[in-house]
Amino acid sequence: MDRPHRRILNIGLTALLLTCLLISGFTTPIKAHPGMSAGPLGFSELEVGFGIFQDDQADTKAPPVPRIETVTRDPQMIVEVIQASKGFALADNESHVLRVQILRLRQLQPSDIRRLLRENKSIGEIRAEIEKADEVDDGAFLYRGYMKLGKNLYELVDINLTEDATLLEAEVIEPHGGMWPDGDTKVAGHIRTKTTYREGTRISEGELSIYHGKYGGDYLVLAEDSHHMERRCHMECPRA
Amino acid sequence: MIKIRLSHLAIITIVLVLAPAISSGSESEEADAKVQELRGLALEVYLSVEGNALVIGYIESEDLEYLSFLEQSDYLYEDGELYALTDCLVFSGEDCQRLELVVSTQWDEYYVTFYLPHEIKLDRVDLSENLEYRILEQDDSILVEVLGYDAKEPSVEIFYDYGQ
Repeated sequence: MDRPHRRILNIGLTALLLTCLLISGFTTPIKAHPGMSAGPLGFSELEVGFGIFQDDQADTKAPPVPRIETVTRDPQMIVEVIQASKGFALADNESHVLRVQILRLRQLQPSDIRRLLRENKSIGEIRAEIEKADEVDDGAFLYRGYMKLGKNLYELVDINLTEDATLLEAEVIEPHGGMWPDGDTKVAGHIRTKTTYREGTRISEGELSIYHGKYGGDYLVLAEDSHHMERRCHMECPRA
Repeated sequence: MIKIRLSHLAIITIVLVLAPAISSGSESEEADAKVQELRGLALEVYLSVEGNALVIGYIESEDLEYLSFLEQSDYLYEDGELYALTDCLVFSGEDCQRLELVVSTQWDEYYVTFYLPHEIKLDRVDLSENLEYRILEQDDSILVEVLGYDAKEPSVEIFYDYGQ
């Protein structure tokens, strides 16, 4: 495209961008709840906009806005889907379909489960035993994360997730011979996203870096959390 | 540092502005939108030496019908969480055992982990299209972790025998 046309296109896009920003009010910073700890991510204050995480120091004068999410965790769930998003990873000259899934798994001892199976307990008794054990050991759990970028399946490790599950940061482990890595923990990238609830839609925005390989590059992440997971997302979200 | 192109910003902005506008329509529009919800399955299967299994996991209530093994199993379901006790997953062959989990319909997200007794000798794992797996050893179990996206009629077959 020759230069005059490109200039006109850029001016048009800029005007469109500013119009959209004014309409949506994205320029208003939203801060985390004052009582919310920074957590392992250190996300005490975040700019809500295009998913670009701002330095805390840059926004210290912005007025606090009431938090819109309420954590209502159910400690009894054995398997919980914390995040299940589908969207795009956008780079300079390419874009790929992106899927991110975060599970929260209660750590049960398989030997305990097999003992319950051997004892011919009913399903109700088994559930009661598991819930009872859960109360005793205070419910140890772990996070498992998976990501599909284009055609490659990755695992997410070192998952840092804020208590309200809106801020995610994790290392990306590269695929291995068409299967998941089995003991191979070579870090292939890094992902960092923030999920916000906007008029009925949960949007995850952030950054993804893949260090090498077919999908190597830096991407912007834009994805929508699946609606059915909203019921289990532990957030009482405001309705439009 | 990520370079952000103006065109990308414009696309993102348009999507973010239009998506809520589209989703905040009438009740009928909301009903239509629900059709596009992602269908997800997340299960853990604990297998005993005797061949029965405890299945625990997350599934939406309207999707329970796609787990055919539940028809011959005892199960409890409450608020998305399934507990099922079944002996319908293991089939005995002449020279090996086969653990089979077949689920109907298409799943946007599929995650199942099988916790197999460490006494077994794993032969092979057969999967349907769009599923991938890995094998891990953990304490007293062999884990077969299966994951997939956009999996249609996903099936997992694990062939094993009891080692000497």
